[in-house]
Amino acid sequence: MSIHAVPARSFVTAGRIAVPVLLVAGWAAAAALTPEVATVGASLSAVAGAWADGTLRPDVADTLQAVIAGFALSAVMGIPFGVWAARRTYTYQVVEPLFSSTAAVPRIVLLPIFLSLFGITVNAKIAIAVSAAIVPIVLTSMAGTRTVNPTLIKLGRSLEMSRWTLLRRVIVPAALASIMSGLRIGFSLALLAVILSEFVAATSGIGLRIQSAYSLQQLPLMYGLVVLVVLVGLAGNLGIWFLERRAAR
Amino acid sequence: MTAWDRDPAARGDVVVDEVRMTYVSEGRTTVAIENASGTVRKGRFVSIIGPSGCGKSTLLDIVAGLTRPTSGQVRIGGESVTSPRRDFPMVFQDDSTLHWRTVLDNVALGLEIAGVPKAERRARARDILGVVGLRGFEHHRPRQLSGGMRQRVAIARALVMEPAMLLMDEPFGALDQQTRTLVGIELLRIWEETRTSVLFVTHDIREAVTLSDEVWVMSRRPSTILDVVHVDLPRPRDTDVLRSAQFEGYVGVLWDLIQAEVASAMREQERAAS
Amino acid sequence: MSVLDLGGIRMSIRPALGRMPAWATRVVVVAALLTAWHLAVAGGLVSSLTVPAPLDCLRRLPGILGTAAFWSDAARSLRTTVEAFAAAAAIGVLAGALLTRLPVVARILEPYIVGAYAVPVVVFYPTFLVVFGLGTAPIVLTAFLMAVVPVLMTTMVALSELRPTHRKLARSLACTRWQAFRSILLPSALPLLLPGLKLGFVYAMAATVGVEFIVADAGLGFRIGELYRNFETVDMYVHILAMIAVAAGFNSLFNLLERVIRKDLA
Repeated sequence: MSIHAVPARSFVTAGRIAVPVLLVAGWAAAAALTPEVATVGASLSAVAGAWADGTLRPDVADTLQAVIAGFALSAVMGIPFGVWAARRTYTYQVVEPLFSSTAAVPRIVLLPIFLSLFGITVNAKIAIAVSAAIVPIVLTSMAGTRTVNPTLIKLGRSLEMSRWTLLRRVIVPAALASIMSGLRIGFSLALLAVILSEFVAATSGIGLRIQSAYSLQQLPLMYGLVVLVVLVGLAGNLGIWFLERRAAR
Repeated sequence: MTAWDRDPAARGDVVVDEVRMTYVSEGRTTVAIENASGTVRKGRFVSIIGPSGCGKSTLLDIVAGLTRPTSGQVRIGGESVTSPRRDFPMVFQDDSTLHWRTVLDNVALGLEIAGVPKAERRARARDILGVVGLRGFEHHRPRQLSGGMRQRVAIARALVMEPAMLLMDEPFGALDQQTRTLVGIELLRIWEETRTSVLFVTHDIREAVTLSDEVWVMSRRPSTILDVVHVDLPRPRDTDVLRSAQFEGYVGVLWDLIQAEVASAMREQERAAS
Repeated sequence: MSVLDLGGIRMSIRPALGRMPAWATRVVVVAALLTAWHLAVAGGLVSSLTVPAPLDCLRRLPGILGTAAFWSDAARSLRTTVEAFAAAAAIGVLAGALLTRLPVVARILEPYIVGAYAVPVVVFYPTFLVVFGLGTAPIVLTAFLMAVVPVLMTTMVALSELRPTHRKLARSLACTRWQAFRSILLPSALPLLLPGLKLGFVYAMAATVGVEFIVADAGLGFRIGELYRNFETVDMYVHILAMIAVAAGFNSLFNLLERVIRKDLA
């Protein structure tokens, strides 16, 4: 079997390298076809230029600050709450539908509420990031905890583990994969919520810059910034993935 | 020797002819089946027993046309079996009923796939449900039935295909001991009614003796068919037969044949694990 | 029987007798939240100019539900959502089925499909706007991209978790590929497939309303943004609450559908 798997493995690696190359090639082809798509080079140099002249840095810093603060708050509140609620079947039955039914509410419609409470400040951005990120984090923490093998919990009890040890040594490690997938989704939703809220009302941030580039028809900068947001999302996920690997060891 | 003994394939007998099966894994060749030959005569009930991991199920898959042997072949009526055949239906160890279908539609599944019109396949499925003793359960769903009843649904689904041979892969392996015995007795009754050729894989010696005309004993890997024991117990195999000294004699003979194989297979597994 | 055993029994009986059904407790929780909101406004903790009292919203509700504008907005959002979802469901399931047949391609794409969850697809919206112009096309496209990822992923998981016995059964009956898919594999995968479809719908709806809020000329999202910009706070809150109710309603609808189909399976 592995005789066939060896060429397949290098083929897979080559294919994985080819995918982003093809995506960029597709972008370049689209740019060649229509002036409404900025070229790859122009987009990257527009972003590099804005970064170099110092005008982009505060925007990136403000966006990241709001995303990271909102994400961290969501994790700190959401994971313990999810694990706690899922350990009690009745609480779980009461709470789970409340969270899962709010998943369909686009966070951006809550923005007016946060703006009226906090004004156009970083706090409004953090609040909307929390409202977006906490739901998947709570839901996956609950799902992960619910699926912990009951035999493991019995084993922990028979070893007379304290509640804390049981939580730390048995429940959280068993639920970790699920919790981590929730953190990844939560991070990208927090990023999205902050960017979108910056489209609507902000004094700084990447979203605001995308919005103004759109209004001023600075297409290369707009495309470049969209790519920057995608890269921030991927970088955040990669970071969480590394944490997961370290925690799993 | 009678005429059909000389030309067994012509009579709907299934001939396993020098089947050999090897796997290549991690660059190493493993011989799963060294050499297996035998004939399931039309209308006979044949069991295969052997230590676990000996390739019994692999042999059954080869006979079913689900797996191609490395060399050798399986023939019926002079024709080589190279792909799955609807007249070689299989009954599996796990519950294979489709839970979203009623019992009747589960039994009719193979006929549906074969393109038999609805009215006809339903009528035939209904008849077979009578044979396996599930009349009245046509509109139940599998979840409403016990494990033993679900296996009878699977047997009915196979029988409705009017099989040239029925293939059974440890069909009672997932059932508890009491259910297993009762469903075994039920299968005995069904078989005596239908007299279909059966190839039955099991690791339960008593089950094999209870049901079979012939028991093939397989060795551990690389497997061969060590011996064929003809079970000349009278039919119907009622309680008197199953409690006879003769019955226990066959169990003893098979146990003696298999004991050494099981013990050395276990030692081998332990060595592989350490 | 020891005292300890009795204790165990008492513990197991008490919840069954003493507790309301979960949905009733849920209603109480929601009512408590609304009451807290009301008290916060009535007590002057927050200004009623920025946050209206829930009772004021309730009083305004019939007036808004009576307008044609509300229903045409709702219909517009729903239509966009359904179009995007239908495309995502069809393409996601087919692509997922295709990828399970092409394991090498699936292995190549796997990290990118998982990574697609990390991409806030909605930020592509301005680029779609530039290319396709105003209108519903960019909204449908954005919502489609959001919805197709969970559908594709759950399809692949659902098909990979199929019982081997079901596959073997399909082969032993000499099914054609289509027969195997339609009669055995698809219904068998359905309980795992449905949550993915539900998530896809949820994402399509969130993306639709979200984009409407930013740039559109109709739809619930647009209306909420419009009311916000005009400082019509009470009407805005009523629309937000209506939006939450519609979203929760669809969530329950999918749950119901799931239960009906699963009961069928059971």
